[in-house]
Amino acid sequence: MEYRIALAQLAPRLGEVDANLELAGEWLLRGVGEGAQLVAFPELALTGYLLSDLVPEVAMRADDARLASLSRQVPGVLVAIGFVEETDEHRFCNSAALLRDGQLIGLHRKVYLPTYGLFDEGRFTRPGDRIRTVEVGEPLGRIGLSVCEDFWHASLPMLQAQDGASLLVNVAAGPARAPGSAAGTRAIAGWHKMQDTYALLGTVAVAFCNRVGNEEGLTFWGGSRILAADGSTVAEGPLYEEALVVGSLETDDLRMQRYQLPLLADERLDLVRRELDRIIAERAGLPAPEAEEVAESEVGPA
Amino acid sequence: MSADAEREAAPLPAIDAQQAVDVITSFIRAQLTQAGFERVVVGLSGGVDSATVAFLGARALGADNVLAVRMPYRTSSPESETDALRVVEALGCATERVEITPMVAPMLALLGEGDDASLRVRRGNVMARQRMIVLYDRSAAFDALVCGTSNKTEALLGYGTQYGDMAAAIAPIGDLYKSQLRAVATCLGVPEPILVKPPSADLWPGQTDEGELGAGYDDLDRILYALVDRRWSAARCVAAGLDGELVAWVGRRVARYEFKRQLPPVAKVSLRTPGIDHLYPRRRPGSRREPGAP
Repeated sequence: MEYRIALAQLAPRLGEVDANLELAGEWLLRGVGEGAQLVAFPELALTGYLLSDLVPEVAMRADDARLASLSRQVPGVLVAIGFVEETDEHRFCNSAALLRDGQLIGLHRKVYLPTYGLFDEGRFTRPGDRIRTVEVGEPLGRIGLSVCEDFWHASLPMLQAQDGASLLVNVAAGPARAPGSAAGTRAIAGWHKMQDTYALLGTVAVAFCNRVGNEEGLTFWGGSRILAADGSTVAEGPLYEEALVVGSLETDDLRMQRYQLPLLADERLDLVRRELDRIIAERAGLPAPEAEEVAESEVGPA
Repeated sequence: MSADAEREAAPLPAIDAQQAVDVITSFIRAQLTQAGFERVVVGLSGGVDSATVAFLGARALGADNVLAVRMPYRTSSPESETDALRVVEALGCATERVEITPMVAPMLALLGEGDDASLRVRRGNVMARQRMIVLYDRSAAFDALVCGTSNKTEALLGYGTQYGDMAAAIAPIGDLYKSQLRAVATCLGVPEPILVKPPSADLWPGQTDEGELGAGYDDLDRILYALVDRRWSAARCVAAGLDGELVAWVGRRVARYEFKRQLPPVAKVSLRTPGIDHLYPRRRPGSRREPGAP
């Protein structure tokens, strides 16, 4: 079955929630006009990126009516969008919401907040501590949401693939390093390689929506992409310019792809977990958690 | 803060003046040591801000290491110079008088005649920037760093000239509200006439800060302290009895003049960009000036 996705590669206005809600509403209708069943927006699309101390001023609860009402105007359409979330405990998170028919059906709080190089996110927002997928019904089944830097940690998309996702949606605000130079091209190529690899190894489709525009000295590079679950590129947006990037996935292909390339099914999750437990224990200077059990089983009857 | 002030809904920002003096004099000494300097120059207007900075400089470094530069314009009030000389006399520091009238005259002539608000601001900016030029030149001659005289109230309201009176190597009173400065000035022994006169940039006759800003410093400081230091919302300020229109005006000014408090943004086109991901302390191994070097 054909499943159509639109990526709103736009330039949010820094700190202007109302203007961004209006902008999102307009792009949402454009996406639906293109036949999209899922419209994704960039990271922090409702607030802008370099917020610093504006964080508490632009934050909203995940159940904020303004957020929900975005999707009410487009019945049945999935909307993925980034915003600053304030939890009941007043934790301020860089979150992505998945909305449909005026309901919040999924929420991901950015787990990996880059606080190095040109990034200072950990100073202003707190990390999420859940990596989940969201059931959205046929034909997709489950979606794995993530935010920008989350994709630089392979464990996160791979966990979501193992957790049943047939589509990974990464919303991003990626600033250009050295545009036009070899180093800048390599930085963008790095993102592409990573997306290709996740699609290939996870046998999972990937939608990457990166913003454009300028904030302070930064320029966001766009280049949003849709990849099929065999790693092929379905659609790719321009660099630096606003664009609605639209493409279709053939969801029926997934069954045979996973038959031909049963990587997810072959994954030795128990083995991975044991080795992770061992590494965690060793790093903490503790005895390996299951060392004794393993030793006993090794001396037992074969 | 006194118990009474604590109980007051929207108090003035209180301060322990002696502790502020101790912290700031230690700051001045550390900054100069790290930069490889022993002296400061201060533009002395006759007002309480520059008087306080001169006193702090003398307290930190000794009066011999402070050069107070008076830079009157032809319309500057004679009382301002009298008050500036009171500071020099009280401290026993070196002083120079550099009249800026002939320096700014050709530039002001280009601005044209008239007395509208925009022209007055432009003339004021020319004077403030000329004083900056003089101060930086005197600092080179005196082998010193320029000590800024902007306070927190001015900085937050953007009530100052970028690259003019806001230009400095260090800003000792940049985190003191105007209302706190009086307590610090009193503690330092700044002469009484300077403490009691109405604050003025003295850029044109009869100008006062409070007349130009349209509000008293105490009212402004109560609002700024609530909005900035306590992170109150405008609604909470109003609930605490502060004037709603003034709160909104102050909030807009703080946002509007953010640019004056920061270095200009650099368009990032490389792998490492000053201010973005090329980040170092101002003073670090290798950055200290060798004594006597230019």
